[in-house]
Amino acid sequence: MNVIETRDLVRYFGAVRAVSGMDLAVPTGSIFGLLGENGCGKTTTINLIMGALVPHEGTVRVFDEDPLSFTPATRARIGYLADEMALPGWMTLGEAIGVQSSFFEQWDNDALWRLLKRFDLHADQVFGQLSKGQKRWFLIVLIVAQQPDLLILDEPSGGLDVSVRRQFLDLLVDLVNDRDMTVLMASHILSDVERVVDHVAFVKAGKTVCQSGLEDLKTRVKRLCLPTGTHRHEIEKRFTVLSMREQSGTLLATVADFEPESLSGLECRVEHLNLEELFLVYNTRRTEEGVVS
Amino acid sequence: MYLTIEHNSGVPVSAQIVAQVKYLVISGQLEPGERIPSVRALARELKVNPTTVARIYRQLEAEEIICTQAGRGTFITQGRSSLTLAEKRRQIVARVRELVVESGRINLDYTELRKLVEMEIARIEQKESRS
Repeated sequence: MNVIETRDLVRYFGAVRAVSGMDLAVPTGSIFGLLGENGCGKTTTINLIMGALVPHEGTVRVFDEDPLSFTPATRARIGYLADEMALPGWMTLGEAIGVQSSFFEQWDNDALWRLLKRFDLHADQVFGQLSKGQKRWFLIVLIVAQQPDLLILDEPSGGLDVSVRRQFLDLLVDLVNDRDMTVLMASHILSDVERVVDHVAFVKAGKTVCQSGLEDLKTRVKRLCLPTGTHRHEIEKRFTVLSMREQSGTLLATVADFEPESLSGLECRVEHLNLEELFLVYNTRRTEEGVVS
Repeated sequence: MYLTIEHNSGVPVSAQIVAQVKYLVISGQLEPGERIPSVRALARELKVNPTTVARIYRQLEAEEIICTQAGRGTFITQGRSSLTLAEKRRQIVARVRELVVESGRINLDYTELRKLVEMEIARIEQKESRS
């Protein structure tokens, strides 16, 4: 089952095609990383998923509903933390909690205070006087207290200290583990999200250039280091080659469908690729070469 | 069951964990019949998605390294399965291969390498005969 599905999604801003045929499938219970460089269309995609923007082409389904006509019950199942979100600086945390909790029927006050304690936050503090990390933590905890089934985060850990980031990401995993929540997270800091995401979509120029389970991707996509004398077509015969180049006396071939058995007779070393390297492989390919999923 | 994950190494998390569990079993740190955490508990501890842990457990079960008894939990398989022995061999072969490749890289010739291995065996044999 997928919580979110988009098909051939297109959105223009004037003449600019910000989202250009986006296909996404976010499985229930996943932590899904929507990954791409700044300006590639991540935030626009999220706005389309939230029903804040109308698509020009294509469809979006969230919990099998059209975001433009969400029922209030469905809307309450979604928690959303935007990139730059804030509360009035003068507001106390207690007031903010009072206002926010009035919108939701299944408000979890116990979880709220348990989580706020981790950052030494209490009701009479004023939002404007919190540190950047505390502000961010307060906002995510407010959303967690709504007990959403789907959490959508836009650049959740940007600009935060390492320890805050770590706690933030660990919280996401705990939520998925304890409450079967699904998380969609847009980010361009790959080393960060690598700890927590289990599905990724690499976005380039408004469309996905790769979409896969991360474990699966790491198992399939490998870089083979071969002697320069190796015939290129010999590699292409055995594997789907994503890129091939020569560097310091070695032929480097990145393949999309690695199987140890397919190596037989080839003299080569196999390199694993981490999320950042995988992203670069797909992001530097020309989009005309097709989508590998 | 102490396990560590290197998230940025590029090696799939499931492959890392499967290898570590096998090592813990082979080295006797996990004993046959010993109970191991449930999928959920291990997912919480390692801070990874439960679907990843479920995949790991499925693989370990298929290789008969662990077994799940409905209602009781998950355990290290009792008795020495031939599979564990084959796995031990495979791990040793992998390390020997690394050793040979590494020697080649530093231009150590194979006669020299053989001598080193023989010397190491002799040293351990002597130690064993003394104790």
